[in-house]
Amino acid sequence: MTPDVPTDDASVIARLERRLQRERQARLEAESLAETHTRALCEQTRRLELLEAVTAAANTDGDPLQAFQIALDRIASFTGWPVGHAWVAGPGGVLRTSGLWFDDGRHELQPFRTITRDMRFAPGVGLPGRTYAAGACIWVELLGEDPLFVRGDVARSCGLKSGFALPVHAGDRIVAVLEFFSVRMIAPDTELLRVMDQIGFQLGRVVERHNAQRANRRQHRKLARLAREASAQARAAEAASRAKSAFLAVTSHEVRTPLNAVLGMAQALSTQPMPQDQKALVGDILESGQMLLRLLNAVLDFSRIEAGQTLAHPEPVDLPALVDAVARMWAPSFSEADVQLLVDGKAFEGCRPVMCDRGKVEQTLVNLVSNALKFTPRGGEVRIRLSGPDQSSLAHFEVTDGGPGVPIEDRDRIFMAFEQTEEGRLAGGAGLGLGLGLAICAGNVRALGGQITADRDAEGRSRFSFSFQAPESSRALDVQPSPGPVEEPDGRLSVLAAEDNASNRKVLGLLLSQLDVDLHCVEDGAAAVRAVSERYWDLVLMDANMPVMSGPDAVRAIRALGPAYRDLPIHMLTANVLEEDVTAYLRAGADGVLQKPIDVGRLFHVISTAGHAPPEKAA
Amino acid sequence: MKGIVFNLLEQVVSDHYGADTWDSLVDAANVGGSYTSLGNYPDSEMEALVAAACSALSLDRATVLKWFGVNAMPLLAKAYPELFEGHPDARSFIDGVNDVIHSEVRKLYPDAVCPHFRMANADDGDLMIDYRSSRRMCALAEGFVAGAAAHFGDTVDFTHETCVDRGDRCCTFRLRWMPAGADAVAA
Repeated sequence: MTPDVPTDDASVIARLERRLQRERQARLEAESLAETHTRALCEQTRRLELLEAVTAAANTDGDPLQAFQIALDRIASFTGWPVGHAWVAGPGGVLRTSGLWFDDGRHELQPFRTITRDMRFAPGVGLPGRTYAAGACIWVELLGEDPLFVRGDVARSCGLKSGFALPVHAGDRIVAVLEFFSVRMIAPDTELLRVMDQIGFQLGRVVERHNAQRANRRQHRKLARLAREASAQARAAEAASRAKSAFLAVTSHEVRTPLNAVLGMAQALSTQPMPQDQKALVGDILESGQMLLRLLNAVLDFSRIEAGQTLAHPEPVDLPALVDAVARMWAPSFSEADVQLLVDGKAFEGCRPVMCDRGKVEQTLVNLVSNALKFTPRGGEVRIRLSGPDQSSLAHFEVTDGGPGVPIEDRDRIFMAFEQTEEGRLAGGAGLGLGLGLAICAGNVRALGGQITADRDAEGRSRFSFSFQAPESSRALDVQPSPGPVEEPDGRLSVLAAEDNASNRKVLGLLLSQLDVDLHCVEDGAAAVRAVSERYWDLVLMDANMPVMSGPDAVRAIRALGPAYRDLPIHMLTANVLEEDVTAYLRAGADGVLQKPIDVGRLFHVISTAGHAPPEKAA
Repeated sequence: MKGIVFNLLEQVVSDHYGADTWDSLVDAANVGGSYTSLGNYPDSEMEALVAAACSALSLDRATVLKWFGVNAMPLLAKAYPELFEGHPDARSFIDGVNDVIHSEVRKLYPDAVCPHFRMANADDGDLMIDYRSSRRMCALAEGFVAGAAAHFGDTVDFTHETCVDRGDRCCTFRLRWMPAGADAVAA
């Protein structure tokens, strides 16, 4: 295809020159394209950097105003526009100054700043208001000539020519408007506005985050306050409950001391010869005093239960015999109230005793029987039923009465302390009006590892039932020390009593006058220690609270006198009989504790055993 | 049309017939003749140059365009090897003309207007391609296919089933890959 072309040098040169010219032309064009592309790339990079900076600020700054200031600075330096300002939206979308400005320090701008500071823009009014209403950027090419630009005159006098504003979107609201002004007239730049739109959304995120955090903090503070209140209320409730128990315990203790005197005196009086009508009166005094005593004991039991101090002490127990004994004890009261008491122990198997805490079972049963009696009208019937042990070695007690029973909604509540049904309150019940009886039952049954419930039997009669672990006992029944006839001691017993209360000393004297005892009293612990060290005693009865030296301290001191004093029988005789007190006494060296008001039988028992102790001469 | 196509044409003509021949084509076509690869030039200049080549070679337009496509392919393989690597055969390469090749083209030449080829696999394993363009460069496409086959060492049977030149609405190509050893498509 090679064409015919002139091959002379001039033609060749001419052709080559033309080729060169074309090459040069192509190169120039290529360079021009390259420059254009490079510029475009640079612009794009700067726009990206601007967006990146604003986004970074939006993501890290917690304070929206700080992010706005950064945005103002960055946008102004990117665009080269010397003036930037931020409006914040208030209620109703009214824009007011945020106080944030960017300017490069031109003094001529002062009037513009001043007028801006005092202005408010409603939605749709002025550049800021129109931007707010449109939700998009707005560009004003010539500020002085745009009638919609409210600050036109001031702007013109300050040398400001063009302006644009961008909205800051937070969620679906516009929370701010940023505006920028230049001293040159600049035509709208769509690329720039596109970036500004994005910036508006990025900045909005700071505001959203800020608001969310504030809401979070408020919520957190509220929750913390509620938690504090709840825990304060819980503590107050606990404190109130503890205070109730403590009050009861203290009161009961304070009452015991004079009650001891009353019962003791009355008992002593009852042994003296007197006409029948006077004897009857003394009998009444004793009965009322004993009722008082029962109440006090109930309170003490309850306070022990509340303090969680009840442990079960299992021993071999003949349950049918226990039921019979309770029935016999209550028989007179039932016949007087004209209520029938029936015992059904046929469903109980086994002749062997079972291991359980006798005292707790008996007290629970007695409380339930007492309640049943109170609630059953004349001519009615109360049934005690014992059954078991079943496959799980549980023994079951049921006490059904002729009373109105417990409404379903109250059945859990009544086993709590101080809780009673309406009828219960009126009738008194085993808690004697305080609502403690069933709480004591519940505490006992808990200690026995069992359950107690209130419901109705198949015939619809009110029924209380409790069950507990009753494994067969391998041991034989313990022989109970009977408070029966007292063995005469060998010779007169010498008994030292330390008691600071005069009437208690008198009671003790009266009680022991029935026996052949040589009683000496001292009034404080120190005197007791002195007396022990000076001569021999068969038995020391020690009160707990005394002046000069307390009972336990005195016991410790006596034991420390020497090895000979280890075997000296010392029994506390005191109204302080909480479990922690008893533990303390025994640890101090006491041999036992006699509760006030004095149980005469137990006192005599202690004395009779003391009498058998081999006499030890004092060192 | 982007300048690169003109550059390729210049290169192919110069390689086969010498630079003087290219000069004479430029003169005969009465075009400026200076093309930078990134620039944009009227399609009419390309048509004029092709027409000049037709009369100089006494060949028809389709034959010239096909010759151009076949011989441009090795130049492209040398200039943009990454577009060819990774394809086991010509079919794979041609499969990616829309998604891979033309998208790469647009990265360099953002305003390039590349034709879109609608591709489908026929039941018998043949590849069916639809070509629609106002530029009517179906012969160039055939040349490119032949050039690609040669590059990968494949043998392709290219049938121009319909053609706008014959009055059809659009061009359709049927590509059948022949087992190795068969005669390659005539260049």
